[in-house]
Amino acid sequence: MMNFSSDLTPDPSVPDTSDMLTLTLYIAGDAINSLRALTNLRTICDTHFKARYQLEIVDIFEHPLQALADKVLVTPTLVKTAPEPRLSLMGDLSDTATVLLALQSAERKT
Amino acid sequence: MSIESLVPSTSGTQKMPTGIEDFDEITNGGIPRHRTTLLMGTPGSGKTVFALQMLVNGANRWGEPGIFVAFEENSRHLIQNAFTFGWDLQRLERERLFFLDARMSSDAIQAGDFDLLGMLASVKAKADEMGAKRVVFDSIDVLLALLDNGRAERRELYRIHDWLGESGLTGIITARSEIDRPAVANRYDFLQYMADCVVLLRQSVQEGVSRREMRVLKYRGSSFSENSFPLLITEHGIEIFGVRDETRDFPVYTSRVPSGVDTLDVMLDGGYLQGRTVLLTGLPGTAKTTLCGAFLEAACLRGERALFVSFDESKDEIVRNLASVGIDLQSHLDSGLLQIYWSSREARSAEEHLITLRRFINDHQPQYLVVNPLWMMLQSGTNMLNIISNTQRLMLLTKNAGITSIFTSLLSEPTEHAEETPYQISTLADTWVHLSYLVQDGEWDRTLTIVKARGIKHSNQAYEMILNDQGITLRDNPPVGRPPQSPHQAASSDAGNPSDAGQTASATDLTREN
Repeated sequence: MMNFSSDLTPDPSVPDTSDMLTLTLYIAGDAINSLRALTNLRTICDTHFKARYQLEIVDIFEHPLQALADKVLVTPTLVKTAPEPRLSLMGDLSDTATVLLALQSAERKT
Repeated sequence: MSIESLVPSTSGTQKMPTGIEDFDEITNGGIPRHRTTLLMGTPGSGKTVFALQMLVNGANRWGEPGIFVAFEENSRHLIQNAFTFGWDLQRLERERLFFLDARMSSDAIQAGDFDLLGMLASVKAKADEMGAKRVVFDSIDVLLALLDNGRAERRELYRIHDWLGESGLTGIITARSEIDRPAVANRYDFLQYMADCVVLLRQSVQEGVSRREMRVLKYRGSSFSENSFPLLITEHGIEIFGVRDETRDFPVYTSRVPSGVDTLDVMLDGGYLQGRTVLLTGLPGTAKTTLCGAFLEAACLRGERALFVSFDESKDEIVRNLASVGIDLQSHLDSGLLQIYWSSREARSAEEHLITLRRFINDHQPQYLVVNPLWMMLQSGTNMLNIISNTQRLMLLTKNAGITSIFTSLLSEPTEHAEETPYQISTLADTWVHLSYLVQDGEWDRTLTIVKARGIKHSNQAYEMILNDQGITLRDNPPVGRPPQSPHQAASSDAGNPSDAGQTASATDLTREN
């Protein structure tokens, strides 16, 4: 039910793609942790990175072998693939300060 | 003997053989199928090797693919280690083994509560894809430390437990035990409660020698042996010296085997009892090794197989010294009937020697065995209780194999080697022959006494033992003179004592004495 994914190719209407925050959230179906992570992430992104992020959601129940290939083990896990460096956050992202710090500090590095 | 035959048909718990030497006997068939086995142990006790070996054996012997989830070491490192055990993991990995490197990456940040749902779903998918039957989580404490929350830990442990039950996989979870830390001990209480089978591995260092042991703490729905068993990590992986060698259903023979000395055979009413143990005691230089050599040479001359275990002299020394008294071992070494296993006792535990000896016995299949001297095999790094139980293990090992054995022992060892006062061993040995000196007119004569010979009509008198180039003969009526000296007296008298030169000299003395 929660398996919606967005296109990873940069949207041409967004002017500067180097600033684009590219995120993948791995969830486990409708487990409480996973639902919470999704809600928390949307809130954080819509507040702080509005229109500057792309989010792909991978439901491990639907794509278990992909998670294995991506070396994602615990759920939920948020992986930031761009901008560099790659970063992963484990947990339901309820710790907003940590999430924000991780995403922002990484953003400043580029 | 097939593993299946060991599983009682009435048993409600299905077993999965691990293929680990003697573990399957101790547990009456292996670990519980479709269930969780907890493998606890101190660092370095062999948990990872044990778990990996179970997977490799499953894939190789029973065609059951397996998955190894490594929270700790990376799989590449494991594969490299495995080569030392002769396991070709790279070949197996292509078809029957899958290694999941589940170490948390260093860039991972924790931001709230998480669970293992994703990982278990992935592993299940992989298991379905490859038809896996066995799975290992090594080691769980890394994961639990990450959760760092008692309730979350229990929740996830239950999750793994239930997942194993539902997935049809058989699981081993390893955990590092640190019993001295109460907070951690609590965690393991719960783990032990949850698991269907709990196996404890331990490593300790005694007198500079490493010892490992294994014990089954719990096995739901199955009988098991509760004893602690010596465990070794050898070039073949984990080897356990287990219950099989402690069963006492050894074959009982009534026949005699030649001692290699015709006159001794007469005194023993035909020879040593077949399949039994002989204790041979005496000071250095009383020709213990010569008597052993005669025994094995006679066996080989009859075309039978023999094994000489020496902790004293090297192979070359034994062959050379015995050749000087007309005992030819070299031709039997050449023909393959005789094997000599020589080991320095340094830094090897008695358990290691026992397991090595078992391997030699399995490979060479000797009917006759000499261990010279016994205490060197059994004393290193062990306390008195261990010495006694290892002596029993050794005797049962040889008796179960139907091997007629001679174990030699000195009599003048310090008391801390209390095993040396051979009263402990002598109760276990079936025959006890003692060699000593008799001093008469300034001459040292060797004597032989049959102290005990269970089930044999024998004489208790001391015989004079004569060694010459025709070999050993016993003279029926010993010379009248001072009574045989006690070992203590013999050891303390120094002037002109031929024993000063020790065992090696005894062989060269012989021609002179003739």
